[in-house]
Amino acid sequence: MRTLNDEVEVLRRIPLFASIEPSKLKLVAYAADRVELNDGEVLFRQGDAGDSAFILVSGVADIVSETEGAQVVVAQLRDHALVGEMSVFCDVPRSATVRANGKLIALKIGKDYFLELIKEFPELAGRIIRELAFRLAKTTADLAASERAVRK
Amino acid sequence: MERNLLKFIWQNSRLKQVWLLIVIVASMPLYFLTLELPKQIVNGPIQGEGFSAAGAEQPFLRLPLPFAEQVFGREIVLFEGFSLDRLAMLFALGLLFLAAVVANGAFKLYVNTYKGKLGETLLRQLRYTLLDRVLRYRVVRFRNLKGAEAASVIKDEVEPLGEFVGDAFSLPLFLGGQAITGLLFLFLQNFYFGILTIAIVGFQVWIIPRLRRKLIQLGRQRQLQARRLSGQVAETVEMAPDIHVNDISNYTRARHYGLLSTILDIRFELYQRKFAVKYINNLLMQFLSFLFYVLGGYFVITGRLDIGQLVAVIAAYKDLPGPIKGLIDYDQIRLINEARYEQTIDSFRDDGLLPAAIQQMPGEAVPRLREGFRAERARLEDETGRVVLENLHAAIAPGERVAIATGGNDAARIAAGVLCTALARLTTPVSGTITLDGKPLDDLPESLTGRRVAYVDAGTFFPAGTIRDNLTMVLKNQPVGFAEKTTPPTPPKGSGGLLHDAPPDETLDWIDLAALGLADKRAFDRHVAAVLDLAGLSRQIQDLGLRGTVDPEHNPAFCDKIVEVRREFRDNAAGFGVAGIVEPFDPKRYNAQAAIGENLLFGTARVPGWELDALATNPVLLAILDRHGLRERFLEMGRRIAEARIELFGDLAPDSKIFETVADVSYEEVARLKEMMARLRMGRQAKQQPAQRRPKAGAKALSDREELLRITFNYCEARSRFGVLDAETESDILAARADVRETVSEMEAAPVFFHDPDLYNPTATVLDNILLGRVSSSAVDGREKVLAAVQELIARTGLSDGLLDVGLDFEMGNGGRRLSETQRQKLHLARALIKKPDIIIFNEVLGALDVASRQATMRRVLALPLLGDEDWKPGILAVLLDDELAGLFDRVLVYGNGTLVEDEPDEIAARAGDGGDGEATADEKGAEDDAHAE
Repeated sequence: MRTLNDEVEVLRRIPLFASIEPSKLKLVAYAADRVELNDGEVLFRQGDAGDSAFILVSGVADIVSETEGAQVVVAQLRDHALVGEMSVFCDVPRSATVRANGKLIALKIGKDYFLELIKEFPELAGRIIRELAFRLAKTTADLAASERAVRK
Repeated sequence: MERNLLKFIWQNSRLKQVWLLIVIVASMPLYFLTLELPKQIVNGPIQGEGFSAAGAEQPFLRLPLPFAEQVFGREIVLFEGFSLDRLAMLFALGLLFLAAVVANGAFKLYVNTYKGKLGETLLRQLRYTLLDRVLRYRVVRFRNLKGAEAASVIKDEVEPLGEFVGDAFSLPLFLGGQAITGLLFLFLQNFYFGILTIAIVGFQVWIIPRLRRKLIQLGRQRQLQARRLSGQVAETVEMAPDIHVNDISNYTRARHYGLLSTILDIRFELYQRKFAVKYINNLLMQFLSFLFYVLGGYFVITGRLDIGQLVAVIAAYKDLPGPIKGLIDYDQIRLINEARYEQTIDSFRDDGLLPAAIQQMPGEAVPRLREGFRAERARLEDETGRVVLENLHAAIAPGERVAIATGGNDAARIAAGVLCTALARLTTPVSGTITLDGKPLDDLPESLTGRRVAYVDAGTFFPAGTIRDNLTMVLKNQPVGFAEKTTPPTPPKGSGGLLHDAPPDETLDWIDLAALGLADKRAFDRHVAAVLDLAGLSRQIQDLGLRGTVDPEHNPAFCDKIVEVRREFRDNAAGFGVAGIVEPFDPKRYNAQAAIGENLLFGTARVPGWELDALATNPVLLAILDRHGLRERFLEMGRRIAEARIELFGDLAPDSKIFETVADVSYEEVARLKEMMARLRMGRQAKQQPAQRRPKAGAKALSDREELLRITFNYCEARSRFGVLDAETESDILAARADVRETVSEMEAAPVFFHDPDLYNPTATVLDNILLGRVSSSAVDGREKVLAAVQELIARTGLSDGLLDVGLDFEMGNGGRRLSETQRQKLHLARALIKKPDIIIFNEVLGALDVASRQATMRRVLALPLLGDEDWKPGILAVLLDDELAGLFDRVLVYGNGTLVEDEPDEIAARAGDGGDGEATADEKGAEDDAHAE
């Protein structure tokens, strides 16, 4: 059975938490529920109310966009990625479905606690903003690329 | 009602009062015998009077005819008695004394019991009469009637009257008799002293009531203030949330304190006066003795009175103050009680009572409505007295669907609401008439309007009780088979306004299935289920059922089925998509999702001593731990768990959100843990330093070592992951588990119900019985998935009705507040449907629901056939919250120019529909629950 200390070790390897001191990391590990998914199982579904964010510990997750029954994999996330944070920050339903691609292990952090963490550790907030900014930049670039492709 | 207390008591209990008096008089000789015999014993056998000669004998129980000498000129002895010597006489008299004492005691016992019963019976009737009045008040009156005040009158204020009733007549007569005898005796001794005494007593009789007038006034004030106090206290309790939200607790304190001080002032003045009166009273009596001694002495010394006479006068006077004082005290009690009684009667005045005939239980079935409501030139006022509807002509027949579309306009909504309350008889028109089936509404019995018309508004109040009680309450109109007409008891003439007819028994069968067109109890259960379905409550009540407990002895079939469902759930977990989410209880395996204590016990406690928090002090269990060498290990584990918790949460601020969101301990508990660990590190004797933690109210504080054990018992490795539980300990716990099972099963009444896949556990909830295991904490949304799977399984196995039945036993709590507001509004709707009325009035119902669910529910209610009954087509008058629904009605009324006029249903619906789009989707939902509305 995995103990808190094992999970702290896992968390330490995640860049998001790099700046948090080990004793506090234990609290994060404690607050997080470890969830294990088999291939094809769903972490959360598009349109569901979101009450928690997830950090992928190992494995690959498909981000699936569902439109009128059709499912399109729009992205893939792997180790140490943060997912599901949008619903937590913005109080909106899940914008996409997240599905395990192969065996997936993730840490689930409840919404209230996640917001509390950010309040308590500004460095964490900084890192999350960075991550989100990167994603936005990537999305913008993708959008531009697809627009160019359409024009051609 | 009779306003004079004594008259009231006499009218209601004269025969019993006379009997009481007879018994008291009859007991008098015995009483005197108990006083007389000791004197005879002392004078006769002990001092030897009449036994001076050796071997002298005296007659015992000699019975001469009284006054024989005067009448017949010679003594006539009825019974010569037994001749006894001195010693025999002592025993004979002693035994006679004993017999007299016993008999006298028996009389006293009888009299006191009789008085008590008399008082309490009258009290019951008085309270019943007052309650009857409350039930017959017009609804308008309740706007100004505080529940707590009425309760305080009925419960507390009349209480002392009960004690007074038994004494009301017997005591003054008894004491009066004594006083008059005393006075007479005094007169016989000396005429002048008699006159003197009468003068002083007369003065007392004159002055005391005058002094007491103010006392009575104060008594009344005190009563009113005390009543206000109960009203205020009740209000404070009711508005507790508002008080906290608005920081008015200090103002509330001040308000209460002000009232309490007023009561103190009144009471203090009351005491001052009371004791002053007492003082004057005593003074006058003592003044009389002063006169006796001084005047009498003077007369004796001057030789106008001989000393023997004076001694006789003083001896006669000695017996006088007692009864007179008693009379004066009695008078005070009477006055206070009279004031109390008048006050009570006045606050329950007769004015505006509904005639008793209106609430009569009809012998036969209540006929169905034929014509329905008709309003002619009706003029209606709202609660503030403003006219809101004028010259209203409207009609609604059974089977007709009429809507009032208000478009959210305030004036229209108020007018429509007032019309609804008028049709429901909650208000009366100022002028014009409202008739039902051609008869004025006011003259109709409530048995007709109450059963054939239903009224629902946005109200959410329910009395405490189960959902079933509250749902079926509206069907309890009259006990089944109550053939003859029974008027609610009206006081007969000459009874002082008290009701003496008892109502039918509450425990009778009050629900008339035949009137609902139902064949038997099972059909009724189906009816209830259908009604709840219609109101959108079934699923939610089934959920409550899952959380309820069932006694297998009461419902064996259901419990057997649950055990089957349990098997199905376990065997077919993958089919429901919950494979591996529930870790089942297996006697041979350690359940990682359960706490250590649960694993050890492997069952649920039937007595408090075996509950998880009490295990640390359970000697049987501790002995088993020792046998497996687990106690020390558990202590060590407890220490490590405590340290881990301190490490995790020790640095957090007391107000940190983490305590609310993730920590399984509170800040205070962590602080206690810190203290405890410090103590343990200091190596102080733990037993002398209790940890001061009370696991449950009433349980004794645990010592530090016991607290450590308690922590371990509550610890679950899978949840907390502190890494304190190793595989070896797990297998030792399994061994101890077997030991516990063996030990406990040898006990006479097993304190633990062990997990058994083939048995239903009456101490666990239905859900826990189905799962017979723990939901894994590492599954995503494990609980929700499991719950959904269980519900699906239950629907599939046809257990829904049984579960609904369990859910209906859910206690709704004070004011029904354990259910959400939406649930309560739905329950009100269900109550209107369950009695199958001919006309239902919906006054802006289900306002707490979201638009989609509300519209879906209304569509279900408006669809036909309702509840599967082809013959039942109730007329509906609905004040709409969603004008889009107007199209579903036969006619629509709208508000204009101070009255309601007809409009085109489809047009209104179309106009309203432009703005909203919820209709189409809501319709598809059918009878499914609007769970997301909760």
